[in-house]
Amino acid sequence: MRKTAFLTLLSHWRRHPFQLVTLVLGLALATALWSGVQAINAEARASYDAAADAVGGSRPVIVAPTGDMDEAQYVTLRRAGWLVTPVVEGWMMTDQGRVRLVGIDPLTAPPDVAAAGVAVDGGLGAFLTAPGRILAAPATAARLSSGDLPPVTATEGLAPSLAFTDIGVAQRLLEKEGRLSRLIVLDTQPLNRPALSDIAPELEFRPSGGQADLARLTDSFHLNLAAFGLLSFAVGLFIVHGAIGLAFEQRRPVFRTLRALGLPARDLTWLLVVELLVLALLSGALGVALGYLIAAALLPDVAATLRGLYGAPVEGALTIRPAWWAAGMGIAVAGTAVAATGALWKIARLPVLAPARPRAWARASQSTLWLQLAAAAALVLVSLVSGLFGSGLVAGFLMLGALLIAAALTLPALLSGFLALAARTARSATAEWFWADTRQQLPGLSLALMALLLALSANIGVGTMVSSFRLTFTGWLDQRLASELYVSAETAEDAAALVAFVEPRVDAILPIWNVEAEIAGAPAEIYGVADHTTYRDNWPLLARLPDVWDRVAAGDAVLVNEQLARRDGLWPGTMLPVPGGPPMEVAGVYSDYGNPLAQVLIGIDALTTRFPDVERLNFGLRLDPAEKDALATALITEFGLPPENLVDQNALKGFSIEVFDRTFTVTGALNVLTLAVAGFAILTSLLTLASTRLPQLAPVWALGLTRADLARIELGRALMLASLTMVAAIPVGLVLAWVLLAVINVEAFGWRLPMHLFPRDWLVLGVLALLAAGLASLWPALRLSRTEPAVLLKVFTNER
Amino acid sequence: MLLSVTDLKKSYPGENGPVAVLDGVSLTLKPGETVALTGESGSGKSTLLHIVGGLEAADAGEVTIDGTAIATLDDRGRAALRRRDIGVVFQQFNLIPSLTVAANITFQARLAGVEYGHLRLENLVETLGLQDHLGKYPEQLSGGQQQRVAIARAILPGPKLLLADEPTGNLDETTADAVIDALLAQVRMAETAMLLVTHSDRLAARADRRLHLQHGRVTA
Repeated sequence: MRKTAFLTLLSHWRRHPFQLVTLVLGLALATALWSGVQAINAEARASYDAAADAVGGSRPVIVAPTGDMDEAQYVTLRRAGWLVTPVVEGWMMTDQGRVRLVGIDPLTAPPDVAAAGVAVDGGLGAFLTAPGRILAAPATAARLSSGDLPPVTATEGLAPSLAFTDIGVAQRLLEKEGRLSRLIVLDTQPLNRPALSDIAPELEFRPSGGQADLARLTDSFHLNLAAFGLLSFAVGLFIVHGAIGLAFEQRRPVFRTLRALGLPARDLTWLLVVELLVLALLSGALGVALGYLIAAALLPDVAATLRGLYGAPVEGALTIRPAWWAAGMGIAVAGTAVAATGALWKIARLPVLAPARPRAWARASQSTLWLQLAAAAALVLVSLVSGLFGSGLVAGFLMLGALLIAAALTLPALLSGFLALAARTARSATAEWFWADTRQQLPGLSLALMALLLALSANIGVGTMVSSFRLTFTGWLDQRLASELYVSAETAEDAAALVAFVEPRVDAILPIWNVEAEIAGAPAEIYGVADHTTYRDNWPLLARLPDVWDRVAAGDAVLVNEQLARRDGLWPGTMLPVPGGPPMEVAGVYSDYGNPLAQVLIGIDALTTRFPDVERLNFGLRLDPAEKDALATALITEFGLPPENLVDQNALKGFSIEVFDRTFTVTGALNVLTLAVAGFAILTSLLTLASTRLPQLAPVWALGLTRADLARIELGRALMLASLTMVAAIPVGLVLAWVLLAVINVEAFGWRLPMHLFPRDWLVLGVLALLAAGLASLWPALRLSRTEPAVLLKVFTNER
Repeated sequence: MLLSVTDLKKSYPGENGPVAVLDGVSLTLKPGETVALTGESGSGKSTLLHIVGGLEAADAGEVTIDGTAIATLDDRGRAALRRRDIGVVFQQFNLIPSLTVAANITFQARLAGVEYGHLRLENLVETLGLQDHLGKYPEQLSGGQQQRVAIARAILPGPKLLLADEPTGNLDETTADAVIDALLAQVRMAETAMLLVTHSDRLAARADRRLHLQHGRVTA
């Protein structure tokens, strides 16, 4: 009996193949966007983990809080019985970006780290003896083809953008002779070893997990991507919900007959669950495959962003991971369950003699408008509570999500109200019918329109955020990059000669010296700043004490970047412990967009006093812009500076803008994909509704409107609804932008941005929305205009 | 002559080639005359009605309404003819579900730009017993009430020709009598010609003339 019933249920799809395609494609698209984003995130996180594990990230380490330590300190610890192994690391510039070079001592390193060394052709000997070897993943190895380097061996399984070599070779290549970055503490230690504070009080023991900084830094970026993936998934689910709802409604007579013939309600429900499960798995597999393609297309940009913005080592190649496949299939099944629960619940409670009600959903939706409004009000409350009392990124996204869903739930009531008002102004019979009919169509189209609202709001919100950010960022770059030319010397001696060479040729030489240290328990950069009008006139201060620059120059106050100020509440007037000396007062806070790290600015003299070993190789030069090119040429030809050590202000700004734009390429792509999914939702809604429209259109046609008139009206209806949705999306999008700029950005990146409005962008988006709605409604309208009169006449003669 | 149908032919594709539904049908109707068209299912009654109403095209033959040959009109012209000169009442799905009863009744007249006058509307509504239902939607009415709304809508613009396809097919006898009474009364008052397709001998007997359609031909 069950088999017969199941085959009967499936026969619906044979007769309605388009509905089946809609359902499968809707779910597949939703799954694809979600799983594509998940694949990108999983790939990036796997890269961070591989990088951290490869250099002993899972073990405790000993570090010097002020930066690198002396090799002698390592010797002291070993002699005292501490089983530690030295690591030196730093960044090497290549033509295709930075590579993190890690120097290890394979003789003392733990087996998992040392294994890298013995993997070389020629074994450990080749690794240890001159000229040494560099090991890197094949893609990274390809970037290390410079003639100055030891032979490079491509080794599968190593983390991307990471290269291993012997510690001596690394010290030479990184110009850190005699210096070490940290000591990895091995798993087993003698019990009677002296305490670290007794033998090396200047060093610090850090438990395992310290290498997770990169994952922490990039968490915000990945959370943003995940949120976008979830939004796309939600938009896709609207399609699935619509398709399932319609398929169930159309099969009511079949359900009724099956029940009347003796199939228990429970069996019927289970058969439908099985049917949906099969469809979900089929769609999920298709979606995951599509997601793989999306991820493969977007990953290179994401990898470039992560490398450029965070220095995070992610290659542009995608690995297929079973867990990701399983998660994709899981989300497809879960999405189907969410979309079908309501319909299944109704079927489970369906009376045996329930009449076929092909338009029942429309009437029911009218009565649920108030319920939707009540739910929207509750969600606004959740959003407000989350915004006022919540903290952290999750609270920010909860606020955002609740607002978006509330807006989507409000849309049908808003449109219905507008249509009722418009109907009152109708003068002609056609206009009156148009408004009334549109209002009646609303429940059937509302899911697609809600999806469109979400997509448009996300576009406006994210677009406003990105454009505001770009405008602010460009202005900020002009302030921050005030020096006309930036130069880097190779050695301290070169630097001294360089300064002597340029001194008579420029207005000012501004040292750009910095150290990496720990501030308030997290990695930070400390920069020295010269007492010069360049900073006094240009530096973008958000908050300040009086005489801020005098106090910084005097060495008794610091400036901190916005992200540090917001993270630790370090506003002007508070005291900040700075390594190498007594705490200093925070005298000002400056904006520092794009920097994931905390940053502190102190007077240049204070820097060299507190950190005597600071590298003094980089300078900004102030001079007449007209003389910039001549000086650059002189530095290369007369002074012999390699061209790559000279950076023009414009080139630096161009590079920064390029990194910025690339950062948001993925966001832009997801925006477009989400809008496309919403367009598809409209298309599927219109096409599925088309079959139920004939009884409503045939009388109007019979009374004197042509099929072409009706098709034009249908097209106009779709365009009008899309326009109204676009108008509704503008305030929603702006609220979304405000939340992104004032809440999410502060939580995720530590900076707050001013909001700018871009009406021209809305206009372009509005045209795009109309285009999407127009294209989506064109096909159903064309089909209607070409419907044979005999088909329309059937309405009056056959029971439908 | 208000309606003239001459040698009308129509066939539909069948499994073994075209199947003739109308095979040389001719008939005429004068203003104020009611002709009942009877016949078995599939005899071509509804097809004839649809072609006369400009809803479907004939393969051959000619239909003229008040001197206008329908075949010479394009889609737009036929639509204009329908809304201006023809009133149609079908067995079911007559009404526009999104409009109230009042809006349904006035729809065709307003579509055709006909000034019908409030008094005429009120009289019509009262005659058909619809005065208590004007604010309702079609789905809130019974079958008989819906059919009376369709009749009011067809009559209000004062069409020259009324086409009724099984207008009482879904109604019980009492309601069917009420509906047909109203229809015939309005026809007589407005000098409208009516072509009435029906299975019912009782209903056909109330027409001025009766034509029987068999195998696509008029036999009586």
